[in-house]
Amino acid sequence: MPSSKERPMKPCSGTIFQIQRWSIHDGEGVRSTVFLKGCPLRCKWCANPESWNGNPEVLFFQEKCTGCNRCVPVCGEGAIDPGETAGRFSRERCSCCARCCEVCPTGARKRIGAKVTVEDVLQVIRRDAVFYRESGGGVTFSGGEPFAQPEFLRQLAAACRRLGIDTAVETSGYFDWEQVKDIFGLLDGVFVDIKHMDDERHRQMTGVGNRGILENIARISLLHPNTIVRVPLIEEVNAHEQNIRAMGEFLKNHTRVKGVEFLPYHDFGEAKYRAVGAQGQAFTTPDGAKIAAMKEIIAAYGIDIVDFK
Amino acid sequence: MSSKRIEGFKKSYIDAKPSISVHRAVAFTASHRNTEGEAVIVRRAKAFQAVCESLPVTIFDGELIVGSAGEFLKTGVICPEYSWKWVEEEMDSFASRDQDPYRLDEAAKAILREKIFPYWRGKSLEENFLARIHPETAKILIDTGIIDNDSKWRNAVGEITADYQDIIFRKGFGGLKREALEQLQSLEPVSAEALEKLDFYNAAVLVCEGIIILARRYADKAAELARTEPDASRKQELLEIARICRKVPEHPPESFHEAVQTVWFTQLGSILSENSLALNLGRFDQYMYPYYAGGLKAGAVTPAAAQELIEALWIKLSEWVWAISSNTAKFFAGYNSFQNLTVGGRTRDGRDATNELSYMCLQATENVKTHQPGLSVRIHPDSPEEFLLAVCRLIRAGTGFPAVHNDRVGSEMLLAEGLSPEDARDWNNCGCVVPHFRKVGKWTSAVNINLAAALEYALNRGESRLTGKAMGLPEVPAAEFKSYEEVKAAFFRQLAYLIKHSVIGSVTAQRIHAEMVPRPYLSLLVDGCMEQGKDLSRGGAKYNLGPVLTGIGVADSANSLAAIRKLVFEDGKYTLEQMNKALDADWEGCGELRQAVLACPKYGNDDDYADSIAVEISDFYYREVRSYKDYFGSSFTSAFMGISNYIPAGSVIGATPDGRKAKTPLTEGVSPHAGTDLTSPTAAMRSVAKINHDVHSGGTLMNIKLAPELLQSERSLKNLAALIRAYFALGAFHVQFNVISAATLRKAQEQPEEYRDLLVRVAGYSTQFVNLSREAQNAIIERTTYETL
Ligand code: SF4
Ligand code: SF4
Ligand code: SF4
Repeated sequence: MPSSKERPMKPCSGTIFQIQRWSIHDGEGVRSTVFLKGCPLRCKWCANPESWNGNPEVLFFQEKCTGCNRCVPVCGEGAIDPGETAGRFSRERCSCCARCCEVCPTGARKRIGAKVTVEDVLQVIRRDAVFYRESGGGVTFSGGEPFAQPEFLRQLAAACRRLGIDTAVETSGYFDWEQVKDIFGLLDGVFVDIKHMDDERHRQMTGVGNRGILENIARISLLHPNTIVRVPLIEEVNAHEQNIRAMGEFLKNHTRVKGVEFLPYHDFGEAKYRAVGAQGQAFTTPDGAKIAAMKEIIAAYGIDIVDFK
Repeated sequence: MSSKRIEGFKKSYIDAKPSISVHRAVAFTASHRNTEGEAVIVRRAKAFQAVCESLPVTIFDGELIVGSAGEFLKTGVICPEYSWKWVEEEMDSFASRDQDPYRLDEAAKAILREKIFPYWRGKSLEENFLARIHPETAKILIDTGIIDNDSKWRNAVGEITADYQDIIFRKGFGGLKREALEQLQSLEPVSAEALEKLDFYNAAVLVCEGIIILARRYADKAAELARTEPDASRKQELLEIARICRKVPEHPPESFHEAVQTVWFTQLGSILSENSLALNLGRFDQYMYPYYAGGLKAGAVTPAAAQELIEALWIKLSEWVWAISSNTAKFFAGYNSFQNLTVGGRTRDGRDATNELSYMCLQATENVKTHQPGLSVRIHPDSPEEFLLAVCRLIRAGTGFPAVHNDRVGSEMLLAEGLSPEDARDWNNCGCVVPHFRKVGKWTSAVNINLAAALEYALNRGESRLTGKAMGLPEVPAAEFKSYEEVKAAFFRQLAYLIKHSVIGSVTAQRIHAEMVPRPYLSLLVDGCMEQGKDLSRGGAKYNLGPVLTGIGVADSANSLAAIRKLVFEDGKYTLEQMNKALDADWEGCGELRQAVLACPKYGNDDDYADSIAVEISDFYYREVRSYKDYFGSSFTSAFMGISNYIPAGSVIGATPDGRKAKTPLTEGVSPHAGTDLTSPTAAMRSVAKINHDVHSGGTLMNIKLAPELLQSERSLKNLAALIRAYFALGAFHVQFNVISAATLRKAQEQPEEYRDLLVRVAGYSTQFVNLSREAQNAIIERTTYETL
């Protein structure tokens, strides 16, 4: 008889937009990364704007559209405007039935995201179990913001645990601690972002302040020995001495993080922003000397610099 | 880094243009003119001896290991006894042809025209084969690309592994000659069997004398050079070379240097005897180790000196070029001679066999970057992690070497063929990826069978889509197939037909080989022949295993059947007639249907929909192939391996239902089709591992291209090592990596001059990228790169 502890939890589903197998830069070994859809932040440099909306959605790549209008008649919601502005798309009306995506010959319309069950996700990730075992890898939950779907994440992590699969999470740190703290007990590694140390600047650049995030980082790191801080390094935003020093101070005095990984910003291209109906903004990648200088500052606080290249 | 000397060799090697030497052909032919009427094996042995007596003896500047197949640094030799017509027809275009050009000067051409070709007219293997092959078989076998065994009647067989462990290093050719003489003393020509034995042993004596004569001539040459050599240390080297060449290969070697020279002389003898491919070096790290360890202990050799000798051998192995027709060159591109050399693995009693030489061989390939030997490694669960990481480091260097093999599956394949457990553990690779053993006689690449042709005939009433000729079995129009099962059955029917005619082509060739081209020299290198007094070509080896029939295009056939199943019989969106029309039109004007087929499940993405069809095809192929017996009563063997055969095989096939355009390449081995395995390397590996590798004892081949950016850190090397171990845990046999960015390859196409040493893995082997035809280059560029992951 299975004990009550082992009883399967209520089937639970969530929204994801990709499972990437052979992910080798998000933690130890060969991993599968599950991208959960939905994020409460709006970082201006975000490489995955299609992860913002917590529901499946249709992306429209205007530059691929030839104006053939095949999509217009199949849309039952009148979400696509024909004529002059062929292909113009009103997202509010779209029910995400994806019929237009099926007929579009150029791939200008693409549905992103799907509602899936824990079991659906497991079916994919367990396929690479032998690769995790040989490499010391496992599964990484990323996003979007994975903690924005706490029950789904909890059950995914618990299910991996039962299979002996290593688990890690990549988070913005923006969540209600009380609601999710138990999940950290199911995770083998935590990657959490610090985007900026100044609350106001953080709000400007991501849409939310950083107080709660920094508090959460302190709590996680005291609880979890394998917490790594990730810093997207962007010339115009955070790659300056004052900010990095403030970060070093904070990490040294208030946390017990295992290390810091700098991820130099890379241009993502405008197209995806326009495809979700948003405005993109271009930033600059700091040069090698700058990155090295930032690393030195952090190292001087006695904090390890790590990377997963 | 190599020594200065080796760097110098490397440079002159890269700069040298391949040239054809006619000396071997001249001496071999002249001898035959004088031996009319004698037993064929004796005639061939006499001719071999004549070659050894008259071949120009050349020691190039600074050489430590000596011996050359001709007067040029990069020499190709002609063996008119197998086939001369292609030489006559093609020799004026040798220099200008696209794939593997050679130089041949006018004087040499005149000799060939006047002295060589006239003698062999009507006597060559090719002419005899063409005269005797069944006409129905000939229609699909001869220069069609449908089923192809041209390398078994235009060329000699090769495909042996010299037994250094139990024969050459123990007995020397002097010892072998004594054995043959002893046998002759007790034989009287009183039975058919005794007559055959007498001929065999007489021939054995002659070939032993031949190779010893050749070595002595090198000794004389070295001594002569030493007399006038002004540099004292080189003089000393030349005297040492003279001493060694007087000793080996007549007597067993005693030092590392002597052993390397023995290997090269043995190899040179093989080349001169039949200019064939896949004269394998076997488990070099194993049979050389006693000389290395002993030499170190005695202070007779240093690691640096041994490394230099190994690298010198690597260059020697690359210098001779396999002279072949332009048709054959399409299948075996890149001057490749498939001299496989295997390191790592397990000992005969099952322990890890990796030793210092295993690492030094990896280092040698990284240093000299020659396309020979074909370096293979055997990896088992207890292979040292350092060794696998060294392998990964060499992979990262982008030479395409080594080919990485699953040690256990190699043994399983040979166990299933009837080898003893100890012998099965002692395997080495033959050619590219065929598990082999030094006491085995087997045609390891007997026929290439085009699976996509079977599908074409099934859907196109038994006719070729490109020529309209009836090639396969007659078939009803595709529109009349009522179900997917009927389509599949037609495909298997056509495939069985192609297999049957491949068998006919093979046994016919085997029979003619036994009659016409016995192998007195190579028979001495393989256990069993000497004991039985029986030639290799007549089944003299200890183990005679069935010829390998290689299937080409598993991925293409599986993807095509998957598309038909889904679009026609499940979704009902299109009819087979529409599909056939689109194929006839090579997809012109059928963009929508092509989109639909491209979107269907593809083998290589860990999707059972397509993968299970690939498994079904490969299992069927195995059963069908296995149901036939060869000339010696051994069951035929199945394989899905590379060589560059997938390019010419594709060039004769029209568009296929997987969305492939007419005449474009098929797929190598069991790899996914180029550009269709979009999920991940792990998914591709899982798909490939679903195939039952253990039954395809002719080998299976999997190619993966990785961008170098993915392998820069030590961490990523460990991930590559884990990827290999996991893949092998899944039961797959072989994997090889091309670690070169597509951008680099395109640059190499634009500026070949600057990329002359760029090695790429073509399929089962590596060769210089710039030596490949444009077509072959493009096929390599197209293979999926997981650079964006
Ligand atoms: S079907 Fe595609 S290409 Fe045609 S109008 Fe719609 S979005 Fe544009
Ligand atoms: S997904 Fe459906 S509702 Fe939305 S635009 Fe396309 S057809 Fe209309
Ligand atoms: S937290 Fe991450 S996913 Fe969310 S907006 Fe910022 S960068 Fe994008």
